[in-house]
Amino acid sequence: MNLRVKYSPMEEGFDAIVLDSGDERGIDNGSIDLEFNPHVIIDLPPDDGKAPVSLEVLWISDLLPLETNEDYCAETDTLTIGEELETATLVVENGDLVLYWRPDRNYPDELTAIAVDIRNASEHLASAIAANQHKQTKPTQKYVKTPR
Amino acid sequence: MPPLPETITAGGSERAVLRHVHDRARQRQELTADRIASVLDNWLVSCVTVDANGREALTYWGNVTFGDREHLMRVVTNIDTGSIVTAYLDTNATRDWNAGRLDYFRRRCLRDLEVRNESESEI
Repeated sequence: MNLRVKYSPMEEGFDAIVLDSGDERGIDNGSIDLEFNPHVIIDLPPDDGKAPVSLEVLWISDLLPLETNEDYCAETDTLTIGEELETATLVVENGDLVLYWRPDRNYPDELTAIAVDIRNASEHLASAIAANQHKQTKPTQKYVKTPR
Repeated sequence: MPPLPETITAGGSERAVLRHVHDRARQRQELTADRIASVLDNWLVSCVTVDANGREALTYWGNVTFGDREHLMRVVTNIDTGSIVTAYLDTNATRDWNAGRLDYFRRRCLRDLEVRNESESEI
């Protein structure tokens, strides 16, 4: 799948990447984040659709290099961002973007997005990878927030 | 759509608008300097958000009008410099705020959660 990729290079310690399918984005049903990662933003289609139209990852360099990211599968070249995939009740693909949903723990009639897969990650993230090649290959460390 | 300025003075300080926001504004017609400034000046909720890598940001939610509706816009800023790193219409925050549900914000906030309205006592 061809995704339009826009990498915003490091500026004040911040960089980001947008992977855009080019599909129509909803406005009223516009943009959401991942429950466990408020710095990952997903645009959705109109009419309450659940397929990811585009993905915006803030501080993408924190996820690189892929090889040291425990959520990257080299065999499938897939980067997963999010938590608790095993609890997903709905998985919606849009090409190389895959979004995992589950019922909201407080409002079970509503779905909340918990994770996203980027397939062919090394291809789609190539610009960010190239810009971060100087990074040391120390393993990324996950931060665990105390549940509220 | 006029381009965003290089800086926006709001929330008591002059803030740089990072290149990423300029790029996003080309796709998100709702991203204007007036709306971003309005959120930073008149925010309803603010807190320090944190992602899975421990990266912290100072984040604001405030009401903006787009189309024929009011939405909560989220504005994310660099916690060290105050620069604006992204902004968007936050669908689920709008839904939960309008329903009087504050758990949405609690889940995303690491600390310093502030709410400016009558439901503040719920925090």
